[in-house]
Amino acid sequence: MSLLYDLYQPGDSWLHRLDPRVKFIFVLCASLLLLLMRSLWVMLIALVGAQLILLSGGISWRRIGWVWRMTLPTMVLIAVLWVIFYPGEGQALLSWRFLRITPYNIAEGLAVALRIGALAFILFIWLFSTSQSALIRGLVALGLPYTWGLTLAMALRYLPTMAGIFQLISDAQRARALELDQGNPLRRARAHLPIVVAMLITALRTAQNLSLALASRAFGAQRKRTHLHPLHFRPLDGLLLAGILLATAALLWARLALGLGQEPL
Amino acid sequence: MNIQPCIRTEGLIYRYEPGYPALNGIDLEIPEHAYLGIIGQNGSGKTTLVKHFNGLLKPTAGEVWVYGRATSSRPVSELARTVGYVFQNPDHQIFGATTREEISFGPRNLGLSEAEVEERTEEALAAFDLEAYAELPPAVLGFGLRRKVSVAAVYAMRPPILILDEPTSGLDWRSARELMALVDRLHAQGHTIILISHDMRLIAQHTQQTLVLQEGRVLLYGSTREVFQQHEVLQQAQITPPQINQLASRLADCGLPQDVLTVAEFCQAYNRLKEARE
Ligand SMILES: Nc1ncnc2c1ncn2[C@@H]1O[C@H](COP(=O)(O)OP(=O)(O)O)[C@@H](O)[C@H]1O
Ligand SMILES: [Mg+2]
Repeated sequence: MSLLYDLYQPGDSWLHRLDPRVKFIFVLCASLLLLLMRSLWVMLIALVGAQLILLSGGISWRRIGWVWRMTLPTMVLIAVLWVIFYPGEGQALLSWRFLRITPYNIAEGLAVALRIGALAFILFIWLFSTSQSALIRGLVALGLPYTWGLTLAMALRYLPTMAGIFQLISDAQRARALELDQGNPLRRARAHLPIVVAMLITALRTAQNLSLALASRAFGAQRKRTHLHPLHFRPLDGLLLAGILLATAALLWARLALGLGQEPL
Repeated sequence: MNIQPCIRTEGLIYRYEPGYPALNGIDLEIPEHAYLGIIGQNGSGKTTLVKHFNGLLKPTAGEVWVYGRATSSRPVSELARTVGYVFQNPDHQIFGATTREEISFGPRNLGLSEAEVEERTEEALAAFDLEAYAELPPAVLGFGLRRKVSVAAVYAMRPPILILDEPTSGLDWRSARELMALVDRLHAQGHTIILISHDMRLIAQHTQQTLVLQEGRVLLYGSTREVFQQHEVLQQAQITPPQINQLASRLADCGLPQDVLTVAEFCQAYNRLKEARE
C-alpha cells in the first residue's frame, strides 16, 4: 500500500468550498463533544455521519479505506483489551478467574474503540478537503503566527521528499549488505540505526539549506503579510459556523446538565 | 569478445508504477573486466538499470544474471558481495561516528572476521588517502571527501563489480580527477567498473565501452570509440560528444581521424599530419 503523501483530494464539492476555518472549528467542536461522551450510540452516529459527510464531499473510497486501514487495528486492539481488563458491572456473560465479561463493558469497550475511529474520520474531513495552503492560511487567520504556519506547511511539503530519501537511504545501506529483515525484533530495530542516523544527518542538512534559502530570499523582511488568495468567508460559511456553535453549545449543555451520552448504553 | 559476461540481461522490463516502463526491453552483456560508461538524459533509466545489477530492483519481466546466476531470487545483502554500488549522493549512506567506522560497516555486514574487517578498512583508508580523517565523523567532512568516503566504504567490501552513479557530480575539477584516478586504478587491479556520468569528456577519457540509454531502451552499445562516432544517433538522445571529438570531426577535410576521444589523441593525430606535410 502506498502512503498518501498529500492528504488533500482536489475537488469542488460543498465541502471543498467551505471556509477552512469553519471546517477547523467543526473538528474542534466535534472532538470536544466526542471526548466528553461515552455512549456507544453517539459514537456510531458520529462515525456514520462522518462517512456521509466525506462521501457527499466527493472524497474517494480509496482515502476513506485508507483511514479505516490505519485505525481499525488500533480500534480492535482497544476494544479487546478494554473488555479483558475493565471488569464491568452487572450480570456477567462470562466469568473466569479475573475475566468478567458483561454487556456493559462490551459496550464500553466498543464505544471507546469507535471513538478513535470517529475522531480520526472527523479530522480527515478537514484534511482531505482542504489544500495545504488553504489549511495553513486558515490557521494563520485564526491567530497562528505566520512563521509557525510556514513551518507547518514546509513540514507537510517535505513529507514525500523525506519518504523518498528514506527509501534511498535504505537502498544505499542494503547495497552495503545491511540485512533489515533478519533475526529477532530487537536485531531488526538495531539494523535500522544506520538508516535513521543517515536520515537525521540528511534532514539537518536539508533544514539548514532551506533556512539559508529562505533568508536569502528575504523571508521575514516584511512584518505584515498579504495573501495571493485571500480566504472568502461567504454567508453560507457564517450560517454553518453559527449552526456548529449553537449545536455544540446545546449538546454540551445536554451532556453536562442532563447527562446525555454519559453511559455506554 | 570471448570473455565471459559478468552481467547479462534479457528482455529486462521494469515498471515503477503501472503505465510506461522505466526500462523497456534491455538485452545486454557486460564482459568481465569491462570499464563501462552509461550515458543518457535524465530519466532515461540509467539508475533503474544499475539497481537491477545488485538486486535492489527485481525485473518486472525478463531476467538479470550476475556471474551466471539470476538475481531475482537473491537478496541484496548477498549480491552486495559481488556488486558494489556507490549511490549518487554520499549523504544517503554516511552515518558512522568516524570515517573508520563508516568504512568498516560493509565488511562487517559481510560477516568477516574482526581481523579481516580491520585489514580491509585500513587498506581502504590508505588506498583513498583518508588516513588523516579516520577518526573524524564523515558527516562533517567536505563534499569531495564525503564522496571519497562513500566510494572507499564500498571498495572495502572488495566486490569484483563496482558501480558508480554520477561519482563526479558536484565535485570540483581536482577532486573529480583524483577520484577518477582511483577508479582507473581499481579497473587496472581487475575490477569491472560501471560508471554513470553526464560528463562526456570523462566518459571518453576513462571508459572502454559505452552504453547509451534513451527512454528505457538501448540506443547504442559498443566500444566508447565507436559510440562517439555516431553523431546522428547520439543527437537523438540529445548527447553531444566531447568537444575535442567534435573539433576533429569538423576538421575532417584536413585529414584528422574521426574517432578522436581525448586531447592527447588529437595532438598525436595533429602531429602526425604535420610531420606528413613537412
Ligand atoms: N522511485 C521511483 N518511482 C517512480 N518512478 C521512478 C522512480 N525512480 C525513477 N522513476 C522514473 O523512472 C524513469 C527512469 O529514472 P532513472 O532510472 O532514475 O533515470 P536516470 O538515472 O537515467 O536519470 C524516470 O522516468 C523516472 O521518473
Ligand atoms: Mg540517476
